[in-house]
Amino acid sequence: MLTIAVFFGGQSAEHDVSIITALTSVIMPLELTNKYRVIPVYIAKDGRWFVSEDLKNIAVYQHGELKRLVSRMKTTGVICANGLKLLVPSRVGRKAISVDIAFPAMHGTHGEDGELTGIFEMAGVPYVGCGVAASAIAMDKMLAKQVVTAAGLATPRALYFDGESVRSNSAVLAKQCQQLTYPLFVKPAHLGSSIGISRVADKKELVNALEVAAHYDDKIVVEEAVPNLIEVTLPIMGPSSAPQPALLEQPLTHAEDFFDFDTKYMHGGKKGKGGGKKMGIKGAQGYSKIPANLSKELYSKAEAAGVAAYKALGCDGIARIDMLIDSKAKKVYFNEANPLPGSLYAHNWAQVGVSKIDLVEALVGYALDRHYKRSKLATTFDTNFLTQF
Amino acid sequence: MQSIVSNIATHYTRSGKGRVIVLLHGWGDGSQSWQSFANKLASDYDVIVPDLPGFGGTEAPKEAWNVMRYAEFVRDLIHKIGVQPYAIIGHSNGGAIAVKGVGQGMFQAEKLILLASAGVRNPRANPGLQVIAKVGKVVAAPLPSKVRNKLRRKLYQKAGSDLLVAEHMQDTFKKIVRDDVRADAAYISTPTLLVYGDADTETPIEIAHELHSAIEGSRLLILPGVGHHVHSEAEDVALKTVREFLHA
Amino acid sequence: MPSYIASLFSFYWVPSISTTLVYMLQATEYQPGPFIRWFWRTNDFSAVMQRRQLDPTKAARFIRLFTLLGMLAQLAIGGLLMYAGLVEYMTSGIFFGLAVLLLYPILWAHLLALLIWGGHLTVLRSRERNQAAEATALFAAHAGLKVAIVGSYGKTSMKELLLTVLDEAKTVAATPANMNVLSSHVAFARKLTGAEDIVLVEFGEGKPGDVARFSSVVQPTYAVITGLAPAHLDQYRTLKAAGRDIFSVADTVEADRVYVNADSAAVRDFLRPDFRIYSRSTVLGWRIVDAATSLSGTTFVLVKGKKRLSLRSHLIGLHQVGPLAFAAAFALFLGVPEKKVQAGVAKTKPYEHRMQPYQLGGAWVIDDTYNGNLEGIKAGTELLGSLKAKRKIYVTPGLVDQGKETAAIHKQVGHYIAAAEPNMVVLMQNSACQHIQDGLREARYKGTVRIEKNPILFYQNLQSFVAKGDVVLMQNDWTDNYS
Repeated sequence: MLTIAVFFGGQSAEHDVSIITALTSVIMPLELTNKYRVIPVYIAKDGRWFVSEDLKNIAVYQHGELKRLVSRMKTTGVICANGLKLLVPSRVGRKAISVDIAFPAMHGTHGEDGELTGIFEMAGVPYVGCGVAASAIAMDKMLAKQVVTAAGLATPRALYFDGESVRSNSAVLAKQCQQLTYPLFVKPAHLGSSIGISRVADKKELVNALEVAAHYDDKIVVEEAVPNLIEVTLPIMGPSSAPQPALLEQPLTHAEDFFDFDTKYMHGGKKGKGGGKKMGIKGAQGYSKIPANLSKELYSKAEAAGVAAYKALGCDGIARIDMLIDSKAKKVYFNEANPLPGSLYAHNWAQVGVSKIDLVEALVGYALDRHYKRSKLATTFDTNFLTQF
Repeated sequence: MQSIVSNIATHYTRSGKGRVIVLLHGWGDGSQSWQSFANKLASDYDVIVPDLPGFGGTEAPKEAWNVMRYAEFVRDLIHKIGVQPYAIIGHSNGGAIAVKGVGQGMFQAEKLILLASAGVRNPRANPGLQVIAKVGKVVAAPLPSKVRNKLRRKLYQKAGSDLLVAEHMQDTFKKIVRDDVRADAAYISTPTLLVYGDADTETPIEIAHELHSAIEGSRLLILPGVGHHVHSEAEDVALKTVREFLHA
Repeated sequence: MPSYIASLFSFYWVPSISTTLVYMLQATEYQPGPFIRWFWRTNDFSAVMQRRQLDPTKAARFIRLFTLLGMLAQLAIGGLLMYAGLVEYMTSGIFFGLAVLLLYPILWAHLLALLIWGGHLTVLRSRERNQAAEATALFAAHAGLKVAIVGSYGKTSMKELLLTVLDEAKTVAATPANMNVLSSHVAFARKLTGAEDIVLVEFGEGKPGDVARFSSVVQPTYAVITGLAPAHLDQYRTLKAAGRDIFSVADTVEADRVYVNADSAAVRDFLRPDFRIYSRSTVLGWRIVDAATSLSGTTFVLVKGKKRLSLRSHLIGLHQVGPLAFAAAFALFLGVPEKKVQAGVAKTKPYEHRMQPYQLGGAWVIDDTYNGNLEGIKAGTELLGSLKAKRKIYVTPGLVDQGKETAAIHKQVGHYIAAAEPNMVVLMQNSACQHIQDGLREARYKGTVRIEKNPILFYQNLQSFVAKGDVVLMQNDWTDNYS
């Protein structure tokens, strides 16, 4: 029986979403196959790693149970040599569990951006999803735009600034933005969710928006808004050489309030529970149309653009490409890529006949294939450099 | 709207045209607790309603704050938006913040309105329950945390405490309820209106009388049968009184 | 705490074991035999009440209180004995006391069974006699047509079909929900206004003599025999005995007013030439043609000479054609106009958990969990086999109440399933599981067989298995007293 370690939680704003992804869309279907031994690796908000069967139970994460559990548990360590080994606390010291396949179910910083993937690469363990470079590029909105532009895809015109200059000199930067056409979107370059994003209509708003974005990130992107907007997103899986798209999905929110703090974060936010309930994956599913309501021509255009972006970014295993469509000009723009979509976008895959179990099995298959192909490449070179020194 | 105020990502709403009024909400509420009241005032005034740090859409302070820090935050917010408020209206803890800020001269206004304002320790708080809470903590320690949390919730509910209203802000809450703004109130020379409900148990009318006597020349209005949320429970009366006072 | 220790404690936790015992009594309809058998079969009493809770009727509450007090008294006596044993240095007292102390769940289970048995003999028997007399008088005084619905399966659906179709033009009353025992018949008879044109009465059968007793009470004008299949064999012992009981309704009804479902193979041994039969191909002089079914419903045409009547129902499965056609033809026979018959049939739709289709994450799930007999399995698997799907999944825990026939019947179930060629068959770990697998093997089934320990968990996780284009058929869910 293969041992699969599922990594989730993490030090990011999407810590909680990651728990849902791992428990409902990864661990449960993997276990239902009766083919794998599934090890949950929970990464706490402070960065410590924990392994325990209890962590597979959603109830642990509610009612403050987690705090108690984590306070009693010893942390798990890791060895990266000849594969990945988890050093899991046992009654006497720690015992090593060899991991056959790593399945990251993390969103946002330190999880989806290639950092975790780097550990898997160093250990030489097969892992699910995009590699280090693709993850890192996808998680930088500006880098991603630059890469897909180089591949000949359209993306809204944009400028970017570093956080330090924004904080010291936002007015000057706002002036530089005169070369773009208002309204503009201001975004932190790395954040996965839409925190810190604003849509601005004039220079005064832009100055404020730059400051807000710089509060969250050290790189800020300012880009032109797409007129007559239809937003779509496309989950894709498979190797970079042969991507398979699911269905184009259209979130049913208005362009203006999609990024608006009030609609996104204030729903049900009574009594100030840390800004109210986030409109999580479920909400997004509830308010989306699958497949997107597009003409045949526009649909295939957007699908092709999504697949091309997947390839250009070097995505591998799974990713979701967000696109913006100018419905009057019939033009498709690349917006951003998510290397690990929330809940793997299982609801969308189900609409193309891929069940949750099919999905995780396919992803594990891609991971093993990639690992096998790479193992045949030469990776070390014996040199006589030292003897000559 | 979002803005960065003293390094805190702050959410606030602003609507209407005219002289500027700033509304400060109470503990556990947010700008939305003013929604209806603010919308009506916005027909004649430029109404600014922030979510105070730790509530609604505004980030929580990184360390535990007292009333003074909240008052400084309001000062910075007013400065950041670049307005000179004509009036400040505070409810409950927002009232205490307003008294602290105006009394200490951190920000000025021509009118100050306090709705069921806090800032004086609740004379009706039950010291017996505090003892029970301390003892209970020791006794309940070996219980599973699920059971313990349930018991705690029950107890705080009984005690009428707001401590668990915003659990992530417990330390700030403990600091705030210890703050007493009566000394600051004594410095206030701004025309001040106090409105309280006589059925209020959270900020009972004893507090109203304390603040009324501390603020020289202040007006006190007590609404019969009204509880703590004066501006929503008796919106029409509260609005009418506030308008008259602002107009005078 | 390991689960086996927890389950041991559940046995000795007084309030919980008393509730569990009373629940088991209630679930076995206060029959001492099945109750005691269930008691001895159970290893983990904390897992008994998985699906339902105790219905706190007056009787149940009283028995629970009585049991609770009795158990506590026994505990006290045991404790006293042990104390006496210690103080008086009477070792036997300690052991005897301990035995008294530990045996209370077992003792009380049997005491309850004994009390219920005694109650049956005395109180209940006389109450039944009174009820029967009252109901007989009420039914005799009623002027409407009385239609008895009898059979080992399909009674409730037939009753609902007739009600839906006849209701278009007549005043109809029918016994409510699954209420088909004597006490509910009395309550039903009391509620009749006397103005009903037609009264539909469902006869429940559970042990020999039941149907004859109901017949003498209701004195029906017409009888519909919906089918014969192995059910309640733990009481009837043989299919023949069950058939004799069911067909005893014909002793009180004129033979040409007895309608028998000829699609049910087992009825043939009991048919008499003067009975009238209905089936998938013919009904009361009508021929049935162009029958077709899909997940959206079933269509067919009644033909008599040059007359044609097209009918459409939301029920799914070709096995519905016979009963639907009968309801339509019977309504025509009673003078319901054709248009109204069509409208009535169009209103028929699946009842909850009976061949009820619904969508789950893009897939179709056919919920037939209330089905509990071989005929139903046959009908369901036939439908599954006929449907076009990317992937077919069949789920069943098997059939209960099969007595000595259980091995043969479940092998047959295996054959039926194999004929539908599902990609995956999900069985539950229970007494039927091995026999169904044997049947699948015999029929050279090639797909995946998956065996689940906990059916409820599987139902909850079903969504992980399916996607758009898939069809899942779930047949027969065992109630607590059979798992």
